[in-house]
Amino acid sequence: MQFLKFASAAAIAASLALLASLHQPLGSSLPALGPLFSPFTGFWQNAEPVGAHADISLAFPELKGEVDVVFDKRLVPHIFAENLQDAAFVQGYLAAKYRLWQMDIAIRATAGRLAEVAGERALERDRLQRRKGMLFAAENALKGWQRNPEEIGLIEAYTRGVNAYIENLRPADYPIEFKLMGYSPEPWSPLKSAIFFKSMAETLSSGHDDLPATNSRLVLGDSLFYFLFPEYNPSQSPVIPPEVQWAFTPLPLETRQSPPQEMIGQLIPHRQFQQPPANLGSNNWAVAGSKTATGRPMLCNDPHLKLSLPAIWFEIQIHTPEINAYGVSFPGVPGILIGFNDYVAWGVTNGSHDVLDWYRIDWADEQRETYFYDGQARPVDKVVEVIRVKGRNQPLLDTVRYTAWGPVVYENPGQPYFDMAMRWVAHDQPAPKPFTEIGTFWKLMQARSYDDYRAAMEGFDNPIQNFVFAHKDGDIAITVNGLLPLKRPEQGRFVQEGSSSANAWYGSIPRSQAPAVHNPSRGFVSSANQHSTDPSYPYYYNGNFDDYRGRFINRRLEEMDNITLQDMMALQLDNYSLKAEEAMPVLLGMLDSTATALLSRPEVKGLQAWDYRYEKGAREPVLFELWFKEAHRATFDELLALQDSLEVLLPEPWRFLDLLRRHPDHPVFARRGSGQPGQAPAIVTGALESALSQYEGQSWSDYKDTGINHLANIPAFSRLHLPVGGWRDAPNAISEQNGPSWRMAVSLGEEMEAYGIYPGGQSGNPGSPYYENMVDKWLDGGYERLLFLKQPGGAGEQLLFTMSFGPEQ
Amino acid sequence: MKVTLYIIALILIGAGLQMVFPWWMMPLAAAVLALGFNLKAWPAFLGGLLGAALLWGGYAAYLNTLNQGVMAGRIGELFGGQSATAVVLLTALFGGFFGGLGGLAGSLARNILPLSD
Repeated sequence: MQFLKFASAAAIAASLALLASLHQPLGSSLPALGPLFSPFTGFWQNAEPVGAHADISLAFPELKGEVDVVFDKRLVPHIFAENLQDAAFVQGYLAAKYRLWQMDIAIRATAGRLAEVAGERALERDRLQRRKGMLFAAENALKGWQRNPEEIGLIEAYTRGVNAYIENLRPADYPIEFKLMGYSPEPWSPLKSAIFFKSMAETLSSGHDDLPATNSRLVLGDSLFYFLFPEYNPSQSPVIPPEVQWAFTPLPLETRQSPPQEMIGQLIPHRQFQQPPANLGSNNWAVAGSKTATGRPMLCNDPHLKLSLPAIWFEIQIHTPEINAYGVSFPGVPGILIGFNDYVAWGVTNGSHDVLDWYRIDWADEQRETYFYDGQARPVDKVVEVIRVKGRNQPLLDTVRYTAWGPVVYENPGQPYFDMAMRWVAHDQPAPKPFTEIGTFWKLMQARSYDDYRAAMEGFDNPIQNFVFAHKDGDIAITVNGLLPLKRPEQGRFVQEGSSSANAWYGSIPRSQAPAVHNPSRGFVSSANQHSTDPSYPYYYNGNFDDYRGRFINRRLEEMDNITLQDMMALQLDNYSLKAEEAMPVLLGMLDSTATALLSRPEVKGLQAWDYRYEKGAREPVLFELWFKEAHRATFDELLALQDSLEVLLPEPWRFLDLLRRHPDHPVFARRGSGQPGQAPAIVTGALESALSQYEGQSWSDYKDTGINHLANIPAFSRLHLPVGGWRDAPNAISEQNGPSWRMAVSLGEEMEAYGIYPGGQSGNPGSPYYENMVDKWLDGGYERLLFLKQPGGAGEQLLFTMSFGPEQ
Repeated sequence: MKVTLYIIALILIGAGLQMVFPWWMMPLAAAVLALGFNLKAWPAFLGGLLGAALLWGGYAAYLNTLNQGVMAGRIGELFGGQSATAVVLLTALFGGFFGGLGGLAGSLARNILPLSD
């Protein structure tokens, strides 16, 4: 009896303790509550003391010299090192110290290793990442880096820095997400830096609409297709001003024995994989001294990426004998991507070019072991992807077939004899050259002249970026930079036949002939993801280009004079939509006689008086967006109906407005079923009625509902339902989940005056007061003065603490 | 008196052990100490509960104060909208529950071991 009592008490205690030590016990979604709640190991250990900042001294044999790091009041580290490698080591150490889980999860998400920690629910996503060849792309990038001792030296030093931090971690020190998800950090590697870099390629340069374009052309016929989907908006204001003359002889496209096949004459049943949202984008510009109050150039950049916590950016200053640069970095990649130094400033926006094309693969056997290529049956390279899945004993094996074009991503069991392979610039191993993408940024960090900037461009292949540049002594420039495939007209706009090498790209556009401009007469350079050039550029390219932000920014920069840094920030924060400005008169002018009653409604009166600004409290943008969407939907209802079974394109907003303005009698404005053309007024009026019936009078920010999500979508670690204006068509491109992930404005001069802010905080730890401390200021359109130090100290109360690193104690 | 000493010993030894070893040292220490102190079932249970609750809750409250409630506020939200203070109490309760169970099991072990009187 006594024994039974003891045994049952001990058994209950032990089994409950065991249960509380298990992650997701009994199939629940609970984390291991025991270690999580223990104040010795769990989340309490992530509760950082507020306001307590002790100086830290550390020794690592990997270092060659002393490194001092001072942290300013926003926890921005200012690294003072004696050489580049030591700087990279410490950058890696600090990236890990503040963003370790973010680095881990980014790698998993990109390379298809999420299911290892998240289980079944991440499996399909992982499979897609593997099929897209993300790891293949990273391995090829790494091969390029490894050829260049200087570049790989920096990456290896950075890796050692990350690992020096990880090696000294106790489980109690792990970032809280590891504790919640029940796994441990892994060592970093140069390959992981490459994977992180390729996550950017995926985000910025994997967009494509070859499938829906092919289908649309077949469904609509050539004449209607080309009418609805012109590639160039004639009112666009391209990145390179139209007055720039192309002073080169373009390469002729080599003639090929077999004629290229323009497109496949059949519908493509495959569904496209989910692509980066269309509203990812960015703005950058530089204005010459002739237009500024200081007489010196100013440079601005705001990349619109997915807003997340931890934020995508980490602010940093790096000072060595070669470099004194300040800006933002990616946790996972050494160097500064957007920033300035004592001489120059630089920034990037996405080029949005189509560098990913699809080739139809005709299988030569039912097992899909061989495919037809230039008249022969060629074997595929099979790569067996091993996907470990949490909760499964055996990993899932998935075979990915690589062809001459690239991996076969889209497979369709219903059609055993044809699939589609992906040809993507980001898969390619870089051609041998002194440095590649990482090197480009380290060259920019060291740049002292326009020539240094141009030389830095040479290394950068992908993703295509508009690199803006300004020098304190007056130069401004912009370069559409990266590996632009050399294509014959319309090549890659549609799915191509993969059985003939005649359909391959023709190489790439020589870098010296890439769109670029240096000190244009208009006194400014700018980009906002719009077309790089007007159609006079001698090479064909296509892409998913923005239509409104760039035009508006160029119009404003043209008008502005005697510009101050405050004017520049105001332009970044401008909520004005050129799309609304152009659409409103068209829509209002189109209303038919039955609309008199509508026009007397107060909401519509308000809309007529609207200033086209997407302010957070405004109500007009809600009604406008509903109206525009309804009108577009009602016009293209036949195409929308097709979308249920087939991927097809829908005309872009600018083209829709163009049609309303110039072709209101066109058959596209026939109402469904009626067959009567010329019903544009009825469609637009009906759309307003429909919009009014959906309109609930909410404010723009309530309707838009911007949120900054935690990377694991944990609401408690997110900032949701934010009261903030802006929209994707306005310079202040804050949409539901994307927006200016970093705003920077630099006034160049003997002393750089720079401001910046990002919606997050330097620490990735939700238990730190620096986790999201900049969000509120960012929401209010505030900026921080960036502390650009000459030596480790001297900024007085602005500094929090110092970390000293040395080779030995 | 014995129980007071038990509680003090549990807090000190429990803290020392948990600096290095996993969280379940808390119930294990409560059990071994209850055996060592030769406590009866109820005193062992209540003493274990109180000692562990004081240790976990006290340490959590200390960390929470330094952190000004940032982390606990988020964890509270994660667990259904609890306040930071509630998270401290929950931590104390969690530790106390296991401490009490451990104490009880230790006390009951007395009766089956030869050292019991």
